[in-house]
Amino acid sequence: MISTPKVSTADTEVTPSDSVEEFLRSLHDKPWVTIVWDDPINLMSYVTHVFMAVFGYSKDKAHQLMLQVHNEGKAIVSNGTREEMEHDVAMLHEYGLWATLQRME
Amino acid sequence: MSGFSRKRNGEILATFSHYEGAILKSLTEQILELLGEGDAPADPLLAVVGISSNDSLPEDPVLARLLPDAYKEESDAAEFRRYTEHSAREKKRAHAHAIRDILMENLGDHALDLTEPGLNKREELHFILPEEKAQMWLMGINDMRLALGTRLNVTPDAQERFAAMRDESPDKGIYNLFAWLGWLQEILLDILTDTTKK
Repeated sequence: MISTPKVSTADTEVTPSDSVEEFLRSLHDKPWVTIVWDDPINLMSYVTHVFMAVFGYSKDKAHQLMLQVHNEGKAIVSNGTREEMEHDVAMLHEYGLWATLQRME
Repeated sequence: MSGFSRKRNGEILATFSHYEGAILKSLTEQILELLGEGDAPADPLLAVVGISSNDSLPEDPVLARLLPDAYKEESDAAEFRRYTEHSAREKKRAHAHAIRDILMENLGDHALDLTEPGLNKREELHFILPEEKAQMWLMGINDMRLALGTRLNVTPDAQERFAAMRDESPDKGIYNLFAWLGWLQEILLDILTDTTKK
């Protein structure tokens, strides 16, 4: 296991009266995102390939995301729980993409 | 013509000159050397479970690019790195090994020594790249491009910048190598994603 969700951060304050269900719902309501940042080295075709290989996205969707990274400097490529996003980021790093995760703004 | 192609029977054929093979092998060894440093866990118990005592972004810019931070927030990045950097290094090492091992297997150790006076630079080498290793090659070539590109401080206008450089400039030689790796990667990617020719 990589990390446990933090229950005491400002956005997800859990009081003793909170049920487990409510806590899980709060995680669901505030998902985490994986962001890929533009870099001048990775080939555009390779980045598209990585999005297809890691996320199973269609060629069209992967291509659109790659263009968003290229033109806007970054793109959100996936969202989910913190643990899922840590997994995605580790995979993207293995492929050599520049990726970070954060709580959705 | 060096590079990769699909044979009629679907196998991936790799073709390199002795010289290119030697260069690739040398690059994988440099990557392995780079990745081998700074990862010795202080606690042997931690090593068993793959937890590294290292938790900060590597000072070497190339290593920092190969093993980037997962969080922008420093303490989160440090915690993530402590639990994952060991395995991230292992994966990158595996990419480099996949390239190096096949080169060694097919070419023999002695034929790949760049300093060997008898090295026939033009003689071509052909070998089959197993499908299951091809993705590793793709990632391994990308690691080399990240390493060289970071050393060269490659920017979007790199092509013009390096074209204007004198041929004697060492950086121009490295840039040509970087460009060649990009070309190789593109060919391999084409072959792997072109489902009509599988």
